[in-house]
Amino acid sequence: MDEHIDRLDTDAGDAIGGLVSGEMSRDDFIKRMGLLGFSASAIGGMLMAAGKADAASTAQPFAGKTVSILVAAEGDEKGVQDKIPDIKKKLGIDVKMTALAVGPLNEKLSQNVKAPTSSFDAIMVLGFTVSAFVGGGFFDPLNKYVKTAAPKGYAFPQDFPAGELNYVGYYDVKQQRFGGRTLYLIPGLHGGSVVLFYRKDLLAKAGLRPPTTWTAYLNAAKKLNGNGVAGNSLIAKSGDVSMFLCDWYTRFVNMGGVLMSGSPKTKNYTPRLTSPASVAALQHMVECVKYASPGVLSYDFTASTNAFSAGQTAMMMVWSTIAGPVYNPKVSKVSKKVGVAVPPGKGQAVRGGWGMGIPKNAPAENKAAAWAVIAYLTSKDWERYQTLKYQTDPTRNSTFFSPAMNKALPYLSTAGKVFQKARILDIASIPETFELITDAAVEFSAALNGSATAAQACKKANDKWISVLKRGGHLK
Amino acid sequence: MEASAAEAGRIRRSRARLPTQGRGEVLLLLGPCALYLAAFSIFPLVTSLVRSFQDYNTRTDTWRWVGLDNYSQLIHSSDFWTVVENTVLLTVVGVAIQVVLGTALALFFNQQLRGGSIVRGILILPMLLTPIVVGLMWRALLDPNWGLLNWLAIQLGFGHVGWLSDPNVALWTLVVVDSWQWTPFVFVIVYARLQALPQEVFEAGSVDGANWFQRTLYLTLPLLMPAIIFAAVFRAIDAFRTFDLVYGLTNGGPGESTTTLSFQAFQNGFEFQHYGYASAISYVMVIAAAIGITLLFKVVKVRRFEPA
Repeated sequence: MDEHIDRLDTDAGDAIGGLVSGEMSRDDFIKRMGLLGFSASAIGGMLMAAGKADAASTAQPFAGKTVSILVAAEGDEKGVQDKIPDIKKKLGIDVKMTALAVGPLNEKLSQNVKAPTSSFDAIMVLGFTVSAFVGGGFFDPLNKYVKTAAPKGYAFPQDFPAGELNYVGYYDVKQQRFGGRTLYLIPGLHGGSVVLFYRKDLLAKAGLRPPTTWTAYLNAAKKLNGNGVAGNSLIAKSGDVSMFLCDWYTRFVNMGGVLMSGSPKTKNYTPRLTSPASVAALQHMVECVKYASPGVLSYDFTASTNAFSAGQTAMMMVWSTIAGPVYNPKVSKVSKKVGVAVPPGKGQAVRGGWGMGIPKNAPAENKAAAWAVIAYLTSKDWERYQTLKYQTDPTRNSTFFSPAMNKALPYLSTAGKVFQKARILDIASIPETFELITDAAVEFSAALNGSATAAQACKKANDKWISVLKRGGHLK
Repeated sequence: MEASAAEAGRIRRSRARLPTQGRGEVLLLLGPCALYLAAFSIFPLVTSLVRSFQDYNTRTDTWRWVGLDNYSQLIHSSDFWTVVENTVLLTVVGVAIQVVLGTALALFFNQQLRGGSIVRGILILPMLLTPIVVGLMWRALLDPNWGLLNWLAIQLGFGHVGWLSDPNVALWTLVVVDSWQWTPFVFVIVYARLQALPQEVFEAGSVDGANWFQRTLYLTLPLLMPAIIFAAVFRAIDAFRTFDLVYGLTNGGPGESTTTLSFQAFQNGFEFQHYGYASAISYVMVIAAAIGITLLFKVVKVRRFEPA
């Protein structure tokens, strides 16, 4: 019953949002609300309210303001760019966008939040850097904005997965841990986790079903390999963080691995990269390389996804937000032949995603307008637009599980299921996350190219981690 | 000896006699330059030296004095020595190839062959490209799936070559690409010097019965030596701090097989925010470069050509 009401609320909210934004005509709105079972008087009331909202929106509450934003160049920037005129029309705000890849974005973010005044009024923060930047106390709490200035139908927090809110939303600065009661970021502009993409036609021809165990995965890769198609693909480029996160961690966590013991607070935070599950996960990757493209050792996620889109790969484990375009017939030769499944084993993967917040040192006079832009870019409307047009992963439940969205992008509900129970990477709570991941990905590549065994590579990575953790004061 | 002491005394006295207006002019002329140097060279140098003895905390945005810890960590890290080896190999082998090829090309084009000027123009094109663009361009050429070089290797029956993914091959790929880009630099320097050599020396050699090989070995190369050494030293300094080509082509991998000192400093400083450790790497580079160049000048003595 509750679920029915939630869905009804969501659908009605969507319709009202569509009417206010002008994407739905009054006639269509009346038809849709009638179908949802609303009475004529209720619909009339909504039309009046929508009219007022529309009038309010045309009043352009922030007319003359300019808001500078820093966003990730992972597809998000396209949807933002498209909607800059709409933001100007509805809010009166001129948005100046800077879009950067993750590495340069982190550098820019770091410089900005430590400067006397930030050049950006709103900034996207990657989950793995929340601890460094939000934990460093560089962002403003957003609780008051959500309470007093959330737009209608914003559905916060109920429309966001709890795990994502704890990751790129709430943070406890005092205790230096994810979660808590203070909201610093709004999850968006894209989220995502890791899913298994496979070629339905090739698996069917070979009499295979999507693998649900890692043994079955390896056997399938072996069987599917040949005739110009690689049995599977990996992100195997040395030092690539996605090698660690997508390929190794997904295997590791589904094989029952536990990454760390102890805690940074008690200064006994100890890596477990030499554990049997860790070595087994890496060894599995070493075996998978045998049934991958000859050039797989230089594949990053783009190269891996491109090879899949070109019809050269039967299976790959990759970020759903990156691989969404394999369903796009404009860029994929196999758009009609793609299937998705949860990762073999427990169906778990690492939690990905971004949040958007207001730096403490942003100009005070721009903060309200910055919030309005954040609210716009994390709204249902913008997210649906972005997901449909550019196939990046959404963050909201209503987008992941919308039947209409899934009709267009059939991977969404599977990606949503993995996203719901995705795990926050243990080491994401310390500022050295990127260094640790990079170090492991460098050492793991030695096993993949055959210059070390899986056990040796894990030992070397473990030793490096110990050294970094000691230097950071997380391990005595 | 006495004469030089008297000369020095004379200069000191003449400086002491500088009128006030003259001093003002000196300050006016040298002041901006000195200020510029102080602000953009000396201050960053001193600051980074201090930073190399400190550790930065990203959360609290504070610096902690750690003495020689960063240097100690660096010296005791096995990765550091791998990176030093890579940097030295890239510098020594790369520059040797570039010097030999560049000089050979200069001698070849000195033959005044027909169409030489057009080929010379084309030859120097790689040098005009930004190294990051060169890295990306070669990455495309070496792409395992659709790169031209792998296609050629497969057509010629060599099979797939892991140009950038095989740790035994990647550094040599880097050396080849670096040489492709910078051989023209050596060529331009040596060729320019070649054009300015005195012809009488060669005519005298010919009269004395020296053949082309003897003239090249005993006359041309010794005369070219100042230009060759200039080009080699210049290139060695540049190759020693190679960063952008590595960033664009291999990102330091596979493993650490193509990581250079500059790339390691960048990674620690700007990716991991270990500014102190990165500063220590940079200072080790500065010291190594100073020692290397001094030794190079001592070992390879440039003698003026003095005709008998």
